[in-house]
Amino acid sequence: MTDLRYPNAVVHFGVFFQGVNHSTIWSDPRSGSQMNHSTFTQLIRTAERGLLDAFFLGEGLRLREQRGRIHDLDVVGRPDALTELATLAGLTDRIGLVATQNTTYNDPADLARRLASLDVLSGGRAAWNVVTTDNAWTGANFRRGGYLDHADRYERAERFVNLARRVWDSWDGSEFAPVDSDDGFFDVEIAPTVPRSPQGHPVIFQAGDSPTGRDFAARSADVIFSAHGSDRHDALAFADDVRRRVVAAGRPEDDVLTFPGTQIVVADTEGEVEEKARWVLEQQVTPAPAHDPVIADIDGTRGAARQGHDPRAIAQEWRRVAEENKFSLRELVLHTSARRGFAGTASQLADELTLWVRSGASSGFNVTPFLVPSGLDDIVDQLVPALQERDAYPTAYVGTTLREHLGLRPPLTRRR
Amino acid sequence: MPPPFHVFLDVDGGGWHPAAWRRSRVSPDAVFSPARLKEFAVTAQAQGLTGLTFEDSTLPDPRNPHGHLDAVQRAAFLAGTTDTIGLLPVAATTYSEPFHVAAQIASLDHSSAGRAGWIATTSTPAVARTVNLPVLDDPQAELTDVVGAVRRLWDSWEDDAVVRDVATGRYVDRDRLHHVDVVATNFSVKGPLTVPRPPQGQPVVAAHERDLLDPGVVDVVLTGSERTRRSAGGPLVVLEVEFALDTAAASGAQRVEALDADAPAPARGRLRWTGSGEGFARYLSGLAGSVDGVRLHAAVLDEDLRTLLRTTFPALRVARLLRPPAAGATLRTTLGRPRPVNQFATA
Ligand SMILES: Cc1cc2nc3c(=O)[nH]c(=O)nc-3n(C[C@H](O)[C@H](O)[C@H](O)COP(=O)(O)O)c2cc1C
Repeated sequence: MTDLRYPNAVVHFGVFFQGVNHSTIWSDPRSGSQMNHSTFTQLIRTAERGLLDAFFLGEGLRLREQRGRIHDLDVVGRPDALTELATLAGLTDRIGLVATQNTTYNDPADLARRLASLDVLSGGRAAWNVVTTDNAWTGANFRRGGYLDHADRYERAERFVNLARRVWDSWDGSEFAPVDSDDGFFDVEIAPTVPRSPQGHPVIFQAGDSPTGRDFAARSADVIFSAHGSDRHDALAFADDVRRRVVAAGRPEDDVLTFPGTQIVVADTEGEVEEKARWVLEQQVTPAPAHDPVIADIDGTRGAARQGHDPRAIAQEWRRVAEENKFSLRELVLHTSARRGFAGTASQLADELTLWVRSGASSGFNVTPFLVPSGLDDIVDQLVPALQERDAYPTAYVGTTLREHLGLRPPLTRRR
Repeated sequence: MPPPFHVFLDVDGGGWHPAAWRRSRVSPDAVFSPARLKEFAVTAQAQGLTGLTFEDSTLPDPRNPHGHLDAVQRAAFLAGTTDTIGLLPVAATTYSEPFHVAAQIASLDHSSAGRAGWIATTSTPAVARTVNLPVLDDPQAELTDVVGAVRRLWDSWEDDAVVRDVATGRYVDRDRLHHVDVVATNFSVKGPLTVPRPPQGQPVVAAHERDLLDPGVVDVVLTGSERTRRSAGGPLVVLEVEFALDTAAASGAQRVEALDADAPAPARGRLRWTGSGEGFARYLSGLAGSVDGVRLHAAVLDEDLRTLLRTTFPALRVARLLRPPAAGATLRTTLGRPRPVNQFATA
């Protein structure tokens, strides 16, 4: 393996506490509350013990519904990300704290300030995962309603981030220079009320996979949180594409890290890998309901399908597969849900993940524990030591800020 | 036993006086220090105070070059390292999103195991400019609407909505989750909230008398007047007192005068008290029985807190006016406010 792009790279881990949706198993007796504060405390302490770079919270500003009724099969309900992370800042010393926050349903004056506050309270460990959301119905919870099409969302997002940076930069401790903007998106005047933290600005993550989203990240972000976390060739193609865009934006190619979201199943022996991975998948495709709907009754035209594909064609293909194999609906879903992420023994996984970061497929992994609060234990107790044996994982936190953990350059507007 | 009396201490920056940061024992930027905030919280809790409050403003004071960290963030930062004291951040109702405010205070209530409060305020028109919203001609009406919307959002999950029913595969009982369908003059909210019902059901809501059209919408009325009295069955009345105590070097009044010379303090609708620490204890004892408590704002936190700890609080303890909240009690329980029935309850 002499042709590795980054032969000395180390694996970076974040923990993506999803808390909601189907990836989190709730039916197992070991599954704890998604809301109890002890769950968060236990997870983040485990993460910090394992020298993880960051604890990451997602965001959804409206509960998922189907035909006007709340979707009831998956875990639902979670705390406000920035508020929860502020509490966790008070209980931890080193780990980064990443809040997913939407630019479509927030105001820069408020959000820039809350992020800067977390950054100061945590001693320079805050990050903002910038998202735009992909729907209009979330807007029904907000003053300005559902608005902005896809391209405008990213335009607003970029102006939002730039404005936030200007606000963060305008604090000088003795004089206030209010930041003015009148660009059609933001006609505002904002003065800073929060000093800068030891890391200068919160680290900027971006999550959104379209070309527009990737270009926005190439110009504005420090890290991309992607969904390319299962197949190394797919991840490498994505990372190469990001590097191209980053260079085109006039930045060094390694200026934007890639952090795919993923899942890691650690098995004790090689013989147990398949069985454990299958168990996880079965639990995630919702616990078996008492009634299993019959395929013929399902109308394939409803609901969102994958972007760019004809939902009818997908439905027809699935129907064909189901009839051929005599699958129940649930069996079909299991069949079409390709396994996400990684499964293996600690030693297999350590080799694989090391290859990922050293070949340039990703800078690290944002791991979703499929069980809370114990879902990180295997990773911290088994995988981390295996990586350390390969010199592919740090043995101590190198600094105190998230920017230092990730080896990032100073904030974009604060470079000489 | 004297009637319950609640002492709240505000911890914002250097103190209520805009020149306070110049007198702090720490450097100007250190008024933002998280370690210092923790120290205040631990001290206040050990003294048996009912709550910490967190004043806030999203606008800088041009004469006073220190700002504020976001109040909800500060309160949340202390939630995991305290266990009996209430945490009551200020969050504005005007020019903010009711949905975000509801989610933030609900989260604070979850992470503090039921010790969250919310001081709902109205903002000056200058704040409208920071978010490009039209200036409201009736901020009090907006406060009423926003508090109402937030309360519906807190109730939008019934207490037992999470059923984890393995047999049917249902995580929640969706009949116990509710759209709030609020349509107010300046906003609408669909709901439900993305955060499950807070442990207190409804976190404690406080607002200043001048911002309230109807005191019935809050649990605690903040007032700057000694004459305000609690009405039967009405909200608690808490007197806002900004104070400056005598030190070895200068009297409280002289200290305020010297601070005013640096930066004159604006009138904020609070009572002003200056004098000795013992005198302050006597003054506060005299209030017990006519109001339910006080919210104390120190002129210079570093200086005045020292005197409070040495003289005022010990005297209040002797008078049985400083009674620590019981272990595990919610802020509501400490304040003697029953846990409200959910307005959507179907059971
Ligand atoms: C890995 C990943 C994670 C995301 N997480 C969130 C999230 O937690 N909350 C959210 O509102 N949107 C989230 N998004 C959605 C993005 O913000 C974006 O709106 C969506 O992907 C559509 O933009 P695109 O077409 O550029 O992908 C996520 C997207 C990706 C790729």
